[in-house]
Amino acid sequence: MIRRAIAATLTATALISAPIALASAQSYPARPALGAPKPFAVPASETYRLPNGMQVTLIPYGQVPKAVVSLRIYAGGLNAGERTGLTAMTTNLLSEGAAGRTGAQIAEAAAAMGGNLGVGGDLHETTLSLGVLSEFADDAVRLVADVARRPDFPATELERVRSSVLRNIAVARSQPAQRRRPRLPRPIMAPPTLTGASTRPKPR
Amino acid sequence: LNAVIEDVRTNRVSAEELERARTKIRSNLYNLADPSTRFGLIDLLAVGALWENDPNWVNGLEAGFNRVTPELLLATAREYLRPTNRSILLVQPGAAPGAPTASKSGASQ
Repeated sequence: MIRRAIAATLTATALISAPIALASAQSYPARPALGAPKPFAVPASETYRLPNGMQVTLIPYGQVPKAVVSLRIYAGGLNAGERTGLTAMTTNLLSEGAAGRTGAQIAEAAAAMGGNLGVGGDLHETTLSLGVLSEFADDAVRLVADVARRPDFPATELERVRSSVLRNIAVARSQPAQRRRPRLPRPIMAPPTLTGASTRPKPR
Repeated sequence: LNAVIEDVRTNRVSAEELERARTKIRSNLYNLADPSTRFGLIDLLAVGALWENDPNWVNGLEAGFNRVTPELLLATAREYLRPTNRSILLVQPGAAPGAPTASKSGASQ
């Protein structure tokens, strides 16, 4: 029965597609030849190191007056080791208050520059990024620096952030793709790499 | 929601709020026009050509943002955000299919 059904489908498809193939051959002109590729010059970038050791790379790109400030810290879930949730809690609490400003004030400051402050982390990296109008680029660097270096970690927000992280975990557990994610690295990287202190990457 | 909408219909936005909104919308326009490819700008040019018969329309968008005043926002909100212009849909997970789900207060808004 199944085989017959497939055969019937194949026949039907063949019948339908044959006239279409014939029609397209008749009514469409030949495709024009591909032109030579346009030249593309990689934008010149400038990289230097600040006295405190931080590497800075400036990349002029694009045609509109916008600037993206992206601070990338080589530390993430791998460094947290057995302290499950530490990375998520830290990244979530960073933007809840810094240098005396509340989370709402930080969000408002970012909005006044035309952007949103994004803080995220994964296994090996923590990223703070903020895209703003170019005229506010200096202020954007200051805001990102405040959040990264002078976070207040307000105790009043701790429980709210904790329940938010737990809710996200519960939601993730209900989704097959999210359930697969933490399992995927294990067959690729031997378990001691994920859990052993000796092979854990040191923060750079 | 009603409280937020009524606030916009009753009170003028402050100069500071308007400036922040203007900054955000300019920033969004630039994001739209120039992501890593330039398809956004091509798209805007096409919209201008199709609807305004003028691709140069794209160059007037920023001037349009600057013409918005607190008074214009108030008048626009009063005209278009009036309660009789709303439909409110209530989704009730778990309700039996076909059961009347819209509450009376929601339906009359």
